[in-house]
Amino acid sequence: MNYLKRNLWQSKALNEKIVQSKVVIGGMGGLGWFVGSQLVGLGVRNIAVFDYDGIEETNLNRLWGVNQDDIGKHKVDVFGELCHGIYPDLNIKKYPYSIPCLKFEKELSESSVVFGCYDQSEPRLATQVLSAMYNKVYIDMGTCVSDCDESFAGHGQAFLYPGFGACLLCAGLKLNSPGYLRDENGLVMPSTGIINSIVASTGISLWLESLVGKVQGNIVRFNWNPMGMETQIIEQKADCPICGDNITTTLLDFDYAKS
Amino acid sequence: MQNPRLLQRDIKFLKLFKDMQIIGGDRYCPVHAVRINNFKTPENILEREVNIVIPFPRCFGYFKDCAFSGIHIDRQLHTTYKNEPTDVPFCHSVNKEELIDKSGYYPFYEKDSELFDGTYFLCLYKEKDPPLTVVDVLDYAYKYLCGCLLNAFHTANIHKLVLYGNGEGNKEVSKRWMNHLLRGLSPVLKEDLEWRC
Repeated sequence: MNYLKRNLWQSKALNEKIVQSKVVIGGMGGLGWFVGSQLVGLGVRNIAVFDYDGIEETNLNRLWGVNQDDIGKHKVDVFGELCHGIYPDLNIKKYPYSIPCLKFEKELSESSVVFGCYDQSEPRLATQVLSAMYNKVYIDMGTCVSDCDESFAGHGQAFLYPGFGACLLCAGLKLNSPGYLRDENGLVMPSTGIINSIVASTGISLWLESLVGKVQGNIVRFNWNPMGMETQIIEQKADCPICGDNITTTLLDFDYAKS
Repeated sequence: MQNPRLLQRDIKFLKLFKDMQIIGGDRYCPVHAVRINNFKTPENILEREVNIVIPFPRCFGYFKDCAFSGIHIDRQLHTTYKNEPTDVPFCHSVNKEELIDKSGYYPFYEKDSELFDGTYFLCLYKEKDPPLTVVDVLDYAYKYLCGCLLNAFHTANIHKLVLYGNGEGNKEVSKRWMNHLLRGLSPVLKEDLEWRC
């Protein structure tokens, strides 16, 4: 398929970089679904997707292309089928696993870029640590819709590592960083495709900026109502254990039980 | 994901204990917990040597709010109040079902249930300055045990103020803490806590 013909706004050089890229997407929920479909439409031909979850009825409002018969199937499998229906020559690896795991680490180590579309802090942290270890570009995204009686409210952000050296910890990632709105039992509530699509596009645009060497900032924040987008630069922190002056040694092979 | 450099630092300290065993995990969370046998308790505790297990947090060494929650002990600890034996406050028996929902933060509960089912959990989590290293948690455990009854009176006082509407906080939460506190205490101590605070 001639991706360049279908994406005339890209320069040949940029198109070549996109087509040659090996992309990993962590999380195929509402955000990851948009990221994946946009990347594939952009011309990415080698992609690995990770998510241990199955399709649920509450996903149907934002996982476009999914239908009632897909409920119960792995998200990564359904996404793969949809992609192959449009782009039969796409090389897509589907991993119904949680992150981190050995397969994720292997794919990340061989990738050009990782997109993180998580709703929990631990996979975010793991992806950040592994990206630092293997010196890979990592775009982390998150969205949050707010409970609002009379209007609508939500926000999102996309973060680029190693845009200006800083990592997610420097950007303020915490154990309970807000993600999707959670109900009284702490379970993630269904989000909306509207805000997911905007944040997905923003994250991909950050990647494109890094490909052409024109990064303006390493974090772009989106606010839904009132609508606005802001690009900022997060400074690296000297005491950061991931990217600071005293970096963690990467002894992930060390057997503590036998030490 | 656990910070390897900080794990090495803490394990180096733990090797000072004669009978110490690491309960290993996987490549990303290499230390699920540490067991220390024959741990010496303060003199006010009737059980002078106990075996303890310390669960390690999943994101140890990375998030400042990712802390140790407490330690598991192989038996109920007792102290004395007005010459009567009483359970140590906030040290209660646990079962697997109670802790399974904590496996998101502590992988020990997901994978090693035979090691904590039937133990007694000494709850050491505090919102301000929670224990972030193994040295912290053992130091805090020892100090807590030294003054466990003073701590009980202090805790009861705070929660009674909330329950009576004279203090800030959530009444339901305070009521749960009070019920938790009163479990297993001697009738004399219980009476003093209920009426004096």
